[in-house]
Amino acid sequence: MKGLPLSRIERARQVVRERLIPDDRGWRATLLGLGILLLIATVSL
Amino acid sequence: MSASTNRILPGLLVLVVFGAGARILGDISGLNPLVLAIVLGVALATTIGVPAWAESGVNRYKLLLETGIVLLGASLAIDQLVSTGPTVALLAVGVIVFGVAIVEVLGRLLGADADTRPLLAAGGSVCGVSAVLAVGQAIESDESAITYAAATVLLFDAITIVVFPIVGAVLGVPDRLFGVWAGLSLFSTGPAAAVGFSMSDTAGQWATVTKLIRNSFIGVLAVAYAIRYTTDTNRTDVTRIWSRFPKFLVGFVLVAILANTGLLSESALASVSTTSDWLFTLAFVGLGIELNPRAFRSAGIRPIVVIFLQFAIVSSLAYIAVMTIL
Repeated sequence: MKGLPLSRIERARQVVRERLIPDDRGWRATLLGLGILLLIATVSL
Repeated sequence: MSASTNRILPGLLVLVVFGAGARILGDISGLNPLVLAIVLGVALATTIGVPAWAESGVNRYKLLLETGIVLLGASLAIDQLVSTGPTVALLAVGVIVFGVAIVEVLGRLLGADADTRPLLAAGGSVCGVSAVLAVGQAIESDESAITYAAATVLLFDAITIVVFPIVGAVLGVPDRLFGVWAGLSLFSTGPAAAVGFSMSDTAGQWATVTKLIRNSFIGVLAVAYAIRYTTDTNRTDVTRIWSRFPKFLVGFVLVAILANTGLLSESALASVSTTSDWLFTLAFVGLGIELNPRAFRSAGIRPIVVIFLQFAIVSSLAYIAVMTIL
């Protein structure tokens, strides 16, 4: 099955399983974004 | 390197290779590199497929998308947002209330499953699969109903990402208004941003900002459905609204504030914008892979009819509102 296109239901099930696991992606994106901003600001000084 | 990094790195490399390919093709052809990134992602998924060793990294594209959105905050003119934001927020509330009502009423009339209706209403009215899951958890839907609604939303993401820019071009909608219209109409953040940027940077920025404003209501809707469908009063807790709030909005606002203080030089702001563009390109390769049309061959008809009618009605009304009010 690996490497092959998943069927619609299998793909949706996978998405559901991934999203049902509580994650902190939004905070990680915030920290990553602020980190990149800080890095660019420092380098451009 | 840690085991986690080893697992993610190959897939990220795939996104970088295809993303760089999209940018090079864009430079050569003059076509929009973000659209090309989606096309390359779809091409990869529909031909050789994503190798097992790359799946874990490719699946991280949403983190890249959200980080790109956080950095997009640097391109935002706060004064323009303050002047237009309240109107856009009101339009977003109208879209959500009207969209939920349409799905609930049409769903009943067309015989869509009672367990699926709230999920379709949330997915079509607020923020796609994230909203389906948030409401699904709030009303304790079973996994099959959640899966079905999520699949329907993903199907429409794939269709609208192709059709919406064509309709926008035919109608000749000005960039800013097209962005707001896309942000009000499309189900998921990635496709809304992709559709906007396929028109222009201005349209992409407004599509993203409008979609983010709409997304911010997901917690309220999840709690409203919990009140409607359960008797557990703890579900109305404010912490539940916060737990569903898309946290990268905090980063987006912080970056917008920092960029508007004047502390960052012009060259720094240009570098932030370039980094954001690259993150979007990599994320859109992943989005193209997820939108693989071969993954949607056996869609059930009733939820699709309900969601199609909801999209057609809400999008038409949003178009009239945007062209009249803004």
